[in-house]
Amino acid sequence: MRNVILPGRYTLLLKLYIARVLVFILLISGIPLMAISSNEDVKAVKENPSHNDLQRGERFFKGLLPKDRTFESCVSCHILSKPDTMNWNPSAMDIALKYVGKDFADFQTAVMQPSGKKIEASHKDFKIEDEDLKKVKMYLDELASTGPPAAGPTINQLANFVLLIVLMILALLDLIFFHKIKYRLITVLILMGSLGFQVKMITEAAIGLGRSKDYAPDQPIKFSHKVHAGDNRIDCKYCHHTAEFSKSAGIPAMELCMNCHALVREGSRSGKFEIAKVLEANETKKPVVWVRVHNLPDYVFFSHAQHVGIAKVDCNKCHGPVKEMDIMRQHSDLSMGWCINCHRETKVNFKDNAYYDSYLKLHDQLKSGKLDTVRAVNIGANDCARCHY
Amino acid sequence: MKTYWRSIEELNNPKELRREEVREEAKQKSMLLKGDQELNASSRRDFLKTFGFSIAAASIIASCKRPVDKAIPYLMKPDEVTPGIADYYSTSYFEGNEYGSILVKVRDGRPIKIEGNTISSVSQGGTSARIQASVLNLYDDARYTGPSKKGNKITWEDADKEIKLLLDSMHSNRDKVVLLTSTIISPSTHEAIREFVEKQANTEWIQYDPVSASGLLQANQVSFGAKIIPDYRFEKAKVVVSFGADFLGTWLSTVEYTKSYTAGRQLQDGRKEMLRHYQFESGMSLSGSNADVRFPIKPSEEGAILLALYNAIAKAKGGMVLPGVQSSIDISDLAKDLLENEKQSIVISGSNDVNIQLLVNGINQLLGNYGQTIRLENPLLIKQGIDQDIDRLLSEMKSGKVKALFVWNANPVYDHPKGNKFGAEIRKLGLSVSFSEYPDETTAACQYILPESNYLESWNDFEPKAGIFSLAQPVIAPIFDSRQPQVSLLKWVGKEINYRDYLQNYWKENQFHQQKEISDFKQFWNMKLQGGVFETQLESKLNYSPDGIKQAASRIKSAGSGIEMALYESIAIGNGKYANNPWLQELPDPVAKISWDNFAAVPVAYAEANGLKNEDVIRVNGMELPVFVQPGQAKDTISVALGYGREIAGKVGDHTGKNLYPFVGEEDGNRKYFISAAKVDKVPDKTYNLAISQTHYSMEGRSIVSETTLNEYIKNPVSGNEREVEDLAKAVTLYKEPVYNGHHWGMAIDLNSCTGCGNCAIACQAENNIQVIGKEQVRNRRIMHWLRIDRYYSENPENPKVSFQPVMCQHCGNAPCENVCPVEATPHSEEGLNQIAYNRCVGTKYCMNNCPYRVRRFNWFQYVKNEKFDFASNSDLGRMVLNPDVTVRSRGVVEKCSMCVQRIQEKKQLAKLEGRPIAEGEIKTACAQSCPGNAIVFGDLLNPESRISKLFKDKRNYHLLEELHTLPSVGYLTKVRNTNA
Amino acid sequence: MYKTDIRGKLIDGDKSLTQISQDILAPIDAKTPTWWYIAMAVSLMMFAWGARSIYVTLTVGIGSWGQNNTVAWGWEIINFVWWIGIGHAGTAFSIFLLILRQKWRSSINRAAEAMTVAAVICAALFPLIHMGRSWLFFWVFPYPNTRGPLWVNFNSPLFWDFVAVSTYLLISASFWYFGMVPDFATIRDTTKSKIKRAVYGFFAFGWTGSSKEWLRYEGLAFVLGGIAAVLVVSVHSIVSTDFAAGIEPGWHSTIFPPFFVVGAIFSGFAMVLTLVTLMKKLYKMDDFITANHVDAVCRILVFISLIMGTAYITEIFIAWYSGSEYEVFTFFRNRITGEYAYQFWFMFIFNALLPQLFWSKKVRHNIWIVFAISICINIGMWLERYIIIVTSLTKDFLPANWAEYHPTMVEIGFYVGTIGMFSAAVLLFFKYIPQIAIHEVKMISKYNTQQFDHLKPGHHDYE
Repeated sequence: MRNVILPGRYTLLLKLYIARVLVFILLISGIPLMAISSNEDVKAVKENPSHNDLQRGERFFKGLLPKDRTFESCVSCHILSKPDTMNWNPSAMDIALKYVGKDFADFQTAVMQPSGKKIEASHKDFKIEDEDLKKVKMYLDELASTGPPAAGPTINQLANFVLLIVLMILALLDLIFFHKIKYRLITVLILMGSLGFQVKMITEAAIGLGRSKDYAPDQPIKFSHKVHAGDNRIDCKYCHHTAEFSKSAGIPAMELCMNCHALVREGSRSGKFEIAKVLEANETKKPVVWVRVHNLPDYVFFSHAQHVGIAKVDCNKCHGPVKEMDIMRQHSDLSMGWCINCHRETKVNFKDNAYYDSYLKLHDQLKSGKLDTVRAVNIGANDCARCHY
Repeated sequence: MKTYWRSIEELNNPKELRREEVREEAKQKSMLLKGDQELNASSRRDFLKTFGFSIAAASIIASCKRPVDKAIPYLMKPDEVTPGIADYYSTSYFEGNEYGSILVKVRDGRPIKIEGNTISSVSQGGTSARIQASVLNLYDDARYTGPSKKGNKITWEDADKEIKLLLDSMHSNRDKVVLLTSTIISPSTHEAIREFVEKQANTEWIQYDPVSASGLLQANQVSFGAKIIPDYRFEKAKVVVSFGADFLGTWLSTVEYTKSYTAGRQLQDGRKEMLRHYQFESGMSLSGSNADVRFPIKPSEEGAILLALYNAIAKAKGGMVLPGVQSSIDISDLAKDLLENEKQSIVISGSNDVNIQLLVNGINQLLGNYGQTIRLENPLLIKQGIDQDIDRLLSEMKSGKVKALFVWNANPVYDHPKGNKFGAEIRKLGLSVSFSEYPDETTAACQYILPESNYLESWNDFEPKAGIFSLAQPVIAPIFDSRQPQVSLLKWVGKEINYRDYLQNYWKENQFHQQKEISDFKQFWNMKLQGGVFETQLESKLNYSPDGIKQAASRIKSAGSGIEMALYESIAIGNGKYANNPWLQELPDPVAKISWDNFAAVPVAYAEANGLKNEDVIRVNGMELPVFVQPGQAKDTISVALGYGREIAGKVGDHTGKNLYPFVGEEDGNRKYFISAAKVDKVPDKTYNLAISQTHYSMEGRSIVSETTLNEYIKNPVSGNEREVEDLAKAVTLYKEPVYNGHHWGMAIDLNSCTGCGNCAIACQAENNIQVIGKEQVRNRRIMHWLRIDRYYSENPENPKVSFQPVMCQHCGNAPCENVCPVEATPHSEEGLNQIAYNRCVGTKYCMNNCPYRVRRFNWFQYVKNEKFDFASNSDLGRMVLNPDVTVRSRGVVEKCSMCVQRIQEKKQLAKLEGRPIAEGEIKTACAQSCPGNAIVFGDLLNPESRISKLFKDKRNYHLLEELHTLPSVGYLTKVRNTNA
Repeated sequence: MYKTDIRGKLIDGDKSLTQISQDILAPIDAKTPTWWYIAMAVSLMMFAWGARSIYVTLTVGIGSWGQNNTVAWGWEIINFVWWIGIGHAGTAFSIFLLILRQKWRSSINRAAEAMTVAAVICAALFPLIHMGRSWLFFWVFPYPNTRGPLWVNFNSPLFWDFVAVSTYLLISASFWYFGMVPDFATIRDTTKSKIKRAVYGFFAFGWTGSSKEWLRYEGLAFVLGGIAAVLVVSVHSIVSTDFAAGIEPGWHSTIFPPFFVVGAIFSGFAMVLTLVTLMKKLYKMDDFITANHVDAVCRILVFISLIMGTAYITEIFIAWYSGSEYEVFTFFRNRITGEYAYQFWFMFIFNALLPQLFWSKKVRHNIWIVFAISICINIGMWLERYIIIVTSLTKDFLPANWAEYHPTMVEIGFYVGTIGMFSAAVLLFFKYIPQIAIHEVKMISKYNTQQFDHLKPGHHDYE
């Protein structure tokens, strides 16, 4: 959600803004209604367990029951909706998915007699009847198939845009016909301001098309680069070991994870839960399906080998402070201008690589002092066909 | 906040989709944890397969709206696989009587490109268009996905059980079982079949070639006592005389012949001699169009001419003159030329008539060619079918003698003259099994369909020439539920074995002992598997005997009267087995420049006399055929290609063209590929659209293909190329000449070595994801091929001189296309390439107009994922052939040859990583890599030592349309004709 | 110096100023005639076909047209150049005559300018739609971007085409519009309809007719005219470089810029003639558009036609004189003779020979012949573009590439659609806008009478 921030003294604009928000709330109030009705459809399809059981399970999960609860509620750690910040505890959804295919006994063991240090610490005061725990499991199973509750709707850009148009029309009408506003300057300012914001929105949206700087999707495993590359100082190229000689830096194969995780079975953050996923993947021979963070368009051919292996560019230069990232995110905007500018600045290790011996003219220019350093752009790094073919 | 979604389903009904997914996931997980055997049994290659699929699917989905991309790493990364780097596996191709030793490029588990294997002495790094296109057959939508019985799915176990039961009862009843195959040159398969035949009583194995060399084999049986095809060495010959044998196009081992033929004709590095090629033929074949002297004749005239030639030579040598019919053509000059080049000439004939082949043998013997240019040590084995065998099979089926038929890689219902009868008889059989990989007419008549794996999914070995072996290994796990027929045959006679083990054992027992260098079999096996070939030297014990030549001479008939229709295999489609391959269907015939159809080629004079023009329709013996007026077509003849008109082939091949196999005749038990006294009449007011991709024949007196004769060339190396000298002298320009710092990529094309075979066009298509557009669009002159081969005729239209010229983007230093693009989508690179950034192109098409070579192609439509262009790129399977290193172009952008810049980038990167300069010949474009004529050379013009720099300094080198001062980076070397006049 | 004595009366009927206003505004207030509705319906149908063709083009691809690898431009560029040519005349007519102080222009310039705007819009559609990826047309404009930045190719004629056409459209539209302001005020003040008063009032920009306003108005007209005069020359010069900068035989020629500008004015004047003859007949504007007006335009056409003929012959001569085998082939074997001879000779006759009939006064005064010839010139000029584009492209350097070109129904539909759009625009103009610049006509209406003599230029000169 992008709030339009306005200088305070233009009270009229502020009022209009509030009015806009109100109108918008009115507009969207229909959406939850629809959502509720569709929820009921889903429930109607499912025969057992009963609605009451589910409700009871939900109450236990959310800490409304039992009445004399002295321990933390489930939901206080295993949150239901996607948080904005990293939550190391497995989310409700995570747990639900893990146990949906398992029977109650497994679930009970995991909850009541946990084996990991971290989980033991937080579950130690747990008191819950088996019957009630069953209902919690039912609730979780239901959750697994219905998905997490929908996050609150966000005001989208289009609504903002349309509202600005309405504002402009009103201002125009006033300017020409109604003359309700005493000072013409105000209407003119409204007009220009709205137009300005619209242009800004369009430009930003256009630049953002196909880009996703700061894109940090949820991953199937809460893999933290901070823990691995930062705290434990594992070299980037230990896992992404093809970066030096292949186009692709490579996402490590599960066997590589097992090099350490055959022994390391409990982590400092999520305890066993996340690492268990690695072990499970290894056991089931079902690879983990990661979400790609850095997506270049199909028509861009980027080679890690060229940058890491040959030019010895530091990983951080493009990927940013990965060592501090719990959630991996796209650090650079990966726009063409970003590439090109770097090529303009980067010096080529011209003398030490025998490949460049064939660049006779440039060597001559270096010798004669015509050229002080050879930069990537001098050897054609900004040719179209370096990346587009 | 942006929301990302993966599919329409997720967008529309996320909850239900999620539910489905969860159910599925939970089920699979529990199955996996319980240790379900079936799922756990997945092997590495299985995984490669699924991995390949997912990558392909991901790259295909990623088109318009940006979905959430997934990345699936390996569980266990195989050592040899690195994502992003291609692996090459050596294997062999043998289909449709064409052999090639090849390397298969595998990217992320998917075979995507075929390259020639340079260490093979047979194909020598060359391929043909059909070999190049064969990778697409792997991803053919028409392929059978599993075994079936009478149209219903069946498991392998059930099929095995049922067939075994039937075979056992036949065995006890001593019922005759026939195994019908195409020619099989695999020694291990021979062994497997031998085991089958041995154990299953009363079984006959028949080899069948739709276009057979039966006559040649039988003649050699008479002359040498063995059914062999000798080993022709064109590079050793000074004179080559071919009677209707299109040895550069379709006759026997074309890649090998093209290699040695062009080696005998190339004039690079100061060579001053070349072989002279005479061709007698009716239609304008690829060989004929390359010939120095061409005689258009009727097919029936061949015997008489050969007899005259025999007599002329025999007379000169003081031998016995054979009585017989008179020749209509004066061959005294030819005889003289041959006599002057004794032991250095080759006479061949494509005829299937034993008598004619006996005469040819006689001539070669008189000229002393055996042991010199024609060797018998390593005879060619790729055609072994004897025509009488299959005819006997038909009569035995009719009489009810044959009870069961196993068909493997043979399609007599389509390609036998009595195909319909075959179909009817097969349907009556108690047991009929087809091993076919794709639907075809014969398979449709069989009860059981037990699909064989594609050759890229199978283990095999080949012996194309005696003593010359090669191996074939799977480069992908079977995509579908298929099985090698060898395994089935062995299984039915009680031998359960993996074919790789069988093959390995066979080689251990046989091939391993034929060498002494390596003592450890494992090492031997790995080496040969890696290299792909194992070649041994044999000695020949065969001797010529003049038996039968007299009788043969007396049986030669005089030329028939009336119009004769000659039937030939086309370059692209061949015998019709690969009619469902859209790349091949769209490859224009090198001479006629027509794709997607066969047609009746009629002589120019005949067309004028009868008011025929292109696309008119004539009726020949009741069959309506579209007319193409073919310069060089012999008087009173019509030529039509075989291999078209398939009924059951798949979405591409069905009903393209007409099936001419029913017209194949028979003489002395051998099939005859022409018909005499054909009844021809024009169908009034009827036209038929032909996809002609070049409509103008003449060079209009412009110096486009520079050419000269050998004599002139020896006198003056610049002859034929005076224009270049003049242009260079006069060249002035306002603009700065481009400066290149590191590399200047260039290409030289020796027009003397280019036979026009079309291999390069398909190699380019496979490498660069070039789309198939279909007949109507080819007809609209919108063909997408980045590399086209222009064909010009000159002189007499009844027997013209033909010139071929491959034209691709010339990468002009002063490119007219570059400065007209309003958005800079096509600038010049620092390495001399004329680049095009597809994603920048807005499609004004101005560059297309301003390219004097017209090499730029436009995406007039969306060719990928479009129902209207349902060829190779409309299904997930078909798109698996796409090269991930080349962008798939969208509608509305211009594209063109990039000089395989992805290959340049790859090799440059490798050199940089290894800290060394790029080696000469390291980078090869797709067209250059597999050119069977070695006509295309690619390299760095800035490197004075490179081959290309030397060729650019050759006196024969010129640039196309040099006078426009476009400064092309592509050079052509003058064509030299060795006419004796 | 210009003398009206020579030319005679500029308008007939000896009208009073009020009468002039009434006469000219009559069609706006009068009941719309039936033929107008019929013509409008036909135009809209044509337009709908065109819209459908554009839809097909955008959804299916340029493949729905008849172009191919060899002939990558076809009807769309022919029509573009043709419309641009037509779009020249209005402004050229108005401005050159304005600068030359030819007062007789007043009766015609409004129509000519309206035609210009409509024609340029029609023309602009073609290069836009003919792009393979029209939705990315804005890449042709240089704007700051995050691609490096990646600029446009300033060497490309197409880029300048875009600049020239869009500037021209802007300037000619403003020129036309500002010229109408006083007339809109007139309607505002005379009409009885409230809606009309509001609408015309809005467009009149609060014009009061004060002398200060007139002063500014005249100044603006001259400034805009000055800019537009340059543009008239530049636009078609630039359009001509689309061809002249190409290396195709028959394109690569230095004669193209003047040749195209003259050709454009030629076709534009022909279209003006077509329009004014229609106005004359349909709206009985005979008093304002007199036989003298038609006569004057015809005389200009004779002159331009001679230039055209000279240009054609020069081109042919140069092709022969240059000795370039490709040029010789294109001109002698593909235009004068050969496959495209019909088109060539029709072009030659229509553009260079037929207008010579205007030497005869009889012809000039026969409105039907004038109309027919004006139509012929329009066809001839279309053929000229056809000849340039199609003959050069179909058979150029390498005979292997020679291919034919035939338009598809989609292309024809697109063209017909623009004609429909043009005629609809013209019909709307007839109905809603004063067809003749009222205030300008008023200025000249009393030009020849005694009391206005002192206004005449040269009145105070010594003779």
